[in-house]
Amino acid sequence: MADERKPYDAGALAGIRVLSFGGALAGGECPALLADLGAEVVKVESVARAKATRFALWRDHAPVYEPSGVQTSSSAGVIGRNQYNVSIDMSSEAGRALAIDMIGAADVLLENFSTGVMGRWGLTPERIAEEWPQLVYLSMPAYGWDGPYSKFAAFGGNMSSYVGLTDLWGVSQGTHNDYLAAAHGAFSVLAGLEYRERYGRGVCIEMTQTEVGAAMLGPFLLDASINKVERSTAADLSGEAVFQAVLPSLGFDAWTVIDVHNEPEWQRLCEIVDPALATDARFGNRDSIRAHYEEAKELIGAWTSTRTPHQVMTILQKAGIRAGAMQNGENLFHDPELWSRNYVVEIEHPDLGRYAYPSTALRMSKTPSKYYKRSSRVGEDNAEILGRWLGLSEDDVAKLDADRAF
Amino acid sequence: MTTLTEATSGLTLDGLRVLDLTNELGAYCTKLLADFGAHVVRIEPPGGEEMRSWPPFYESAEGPISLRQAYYGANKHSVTLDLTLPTSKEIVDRLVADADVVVLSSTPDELATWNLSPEELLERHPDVVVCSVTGFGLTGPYRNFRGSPAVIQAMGGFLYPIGSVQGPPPIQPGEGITNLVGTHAAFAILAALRARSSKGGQLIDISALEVLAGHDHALQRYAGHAVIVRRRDDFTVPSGRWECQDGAVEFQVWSSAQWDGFRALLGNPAELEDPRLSDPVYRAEHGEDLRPMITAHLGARTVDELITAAQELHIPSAPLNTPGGLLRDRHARARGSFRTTTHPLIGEFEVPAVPVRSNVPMWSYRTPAESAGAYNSTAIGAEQDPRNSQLAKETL
Repeated sequence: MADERKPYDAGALAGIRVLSFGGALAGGECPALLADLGAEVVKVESVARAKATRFALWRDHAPVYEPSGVQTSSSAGVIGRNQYNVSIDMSSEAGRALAIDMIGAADVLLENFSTGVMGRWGLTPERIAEEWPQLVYLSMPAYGWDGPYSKFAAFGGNMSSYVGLTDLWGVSQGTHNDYLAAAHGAFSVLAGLEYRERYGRGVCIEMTQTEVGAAMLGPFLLDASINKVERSTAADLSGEAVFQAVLPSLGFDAWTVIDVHNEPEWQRLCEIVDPALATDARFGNRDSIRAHYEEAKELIGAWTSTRTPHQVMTILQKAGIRAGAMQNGENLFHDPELWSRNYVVEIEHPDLGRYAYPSTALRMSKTPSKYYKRSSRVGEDNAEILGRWLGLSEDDVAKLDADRAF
Repeated sequence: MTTLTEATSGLTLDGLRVLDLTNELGAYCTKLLADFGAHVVRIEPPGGEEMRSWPPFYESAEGPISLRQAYYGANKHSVTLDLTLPTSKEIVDRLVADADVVVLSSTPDELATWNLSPEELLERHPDVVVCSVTGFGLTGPYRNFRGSPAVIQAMGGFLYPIGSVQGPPPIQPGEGITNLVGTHAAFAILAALRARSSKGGQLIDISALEVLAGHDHALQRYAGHAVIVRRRDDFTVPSGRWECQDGAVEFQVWSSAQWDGFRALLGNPAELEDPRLSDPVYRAEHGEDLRPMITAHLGARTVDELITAAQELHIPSAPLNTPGGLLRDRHARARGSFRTTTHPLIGEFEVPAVPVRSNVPMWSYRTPAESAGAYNSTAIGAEQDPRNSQLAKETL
């Protein structure tokens, strides 16, 4: 695929300028979603800070370095997609002054710094609202700007534990919190732009990642609030299901999820697995199926064990029963549904080489989204962006460089 | 007494009209739109959408009320319509003509039988933003496969690496993963509305499989390096859950600096001095020996004291709350992370705030979830109300 190193003006957000101080996963994916739809997103990094913004999330390949010496990774190739990169050294006076100028030229400012960092640069929400009243400012703290835990260090798993998910789920896992924060952040930015359009003023948004996590557990928190239970029961957790199970299937570490929502679906499942089950008194209705869950699991599991996950899924889905193979990265890479929609794209990168990446889930018929620009090196777009946003000449940029702004 | 107001003036999406034909896959998408001020009319089959029968419940004087419905149905209006009846086609078409946004989450075959295929909707109503949120998208070999919160977690590659190597991977309870998909849909809808003045309406086709296949880079890691991320049991001690005097806590201890901090948290006990223990792999191998030693030092301490001290030592850590515990949590209380709302049959209760705080009000909780068909007479007129037809009376 050709690399188009120019603004993507076919996207729905063409013309929107976003200045991103976002780092790692939540702060990286949020601006990437905006860039996927054509916003001109400038990711601010610096050679010194790149470790925090693009640490190699996974150690799958030998270290790869940009000419500046910054270490990069194929993960950075995913997270940095479609964005420009300007290096700003916030520890220098010239760097901070440049950041202020860039904020003034942006429609959107976003960051996920630890609470207090923006304030140390004098960039309090109050000052931002006063100085740039048209700006949409999004902050994505872990625990929020205030409150006793506001300065807590948090990994994704910690946030799952805090909001109650680990207790309900039995495992401590948290990267989905980053993706949830990123998507909520991207939605909030567009809500902010809509607000500006309607009411003629920008907004300052504090989108707290733990509060996003709590909103995902709404019904269970209502259960605690209304029914005064400490936690919802196991039966309530798998709520919708007449029968829901992860069942062993044919193959190495192979599993299939079956999710039966109502009695007619259960009847159809029985017809396929063993018609005798359809009239078995133990499984006469929703309540009795749930009461004999372990037996049902064993009986259905004996059938799934002799078929591959994709076989089980296909047979059941064709009968209108919700089922899905437990797919891993290899399955996803070979998934016919993804290939039929050109989901996987190959992108050439001067440091990383040629890579297959996931492209976009934001399918829009008239303003298509795609992976249109490879991730930039730290500071690669300084001259282009400072020229376009601030009207700076090559000489101006050279002077900033001499002043250690980058 | 909490009073709710229907007024949306001043909110972000005031005046936006949304026709909601979704099931659980789209419920959060339209919740976000409704919370931000849109006028959302939800079409449900006579008797109500399936989610109304899902636990947990509140046992009200008039029968059980699904708390899933109470949460996802708030701020929305409910219209019941039997889409299989020919007369429904005209009614739906009139509602679509009145709408800015239509959100669907059924499969292409289901939509076609109801004369609701997105392409045809757009042909008749070219200025409407039509958004489909499904398990697998509107095209491709799996297009008529049905998604569900559990199915998409498996198919999207999210579940496979989670849990013990003994397996199977545990399905994540709740709607977090489903709502991640719904949030993408709501995001794309706002983007399409921005482009509407120049481009008109358009079709948004959100596939949960595609949203999740980008998650955690599983696809790219396989494509680039033939790496398959698997479940593991070597989550190195002391990362994970620990019981203490008044609850449970969770630490994440990986680097040697974090290990040193953790030892300091325990008062630098002699039995943890072995320098080999600063290697997380070594600790993982000796987890069984370490556990009792650590438990002995943690058991008598309180959640609050432990976490406060751990944070001062730069150990990523948190209270491990139950949902009830989160409602009581001193940080959440201090921040006002919950709103008090009210429902005519439930009374007052607390609900998590929409996680967007701003210096101007952008969203609100206005009206409680309606009973199925409560908005029929307003939206479609009493004579069309399926609750008044014989067929519907039998169904109800």
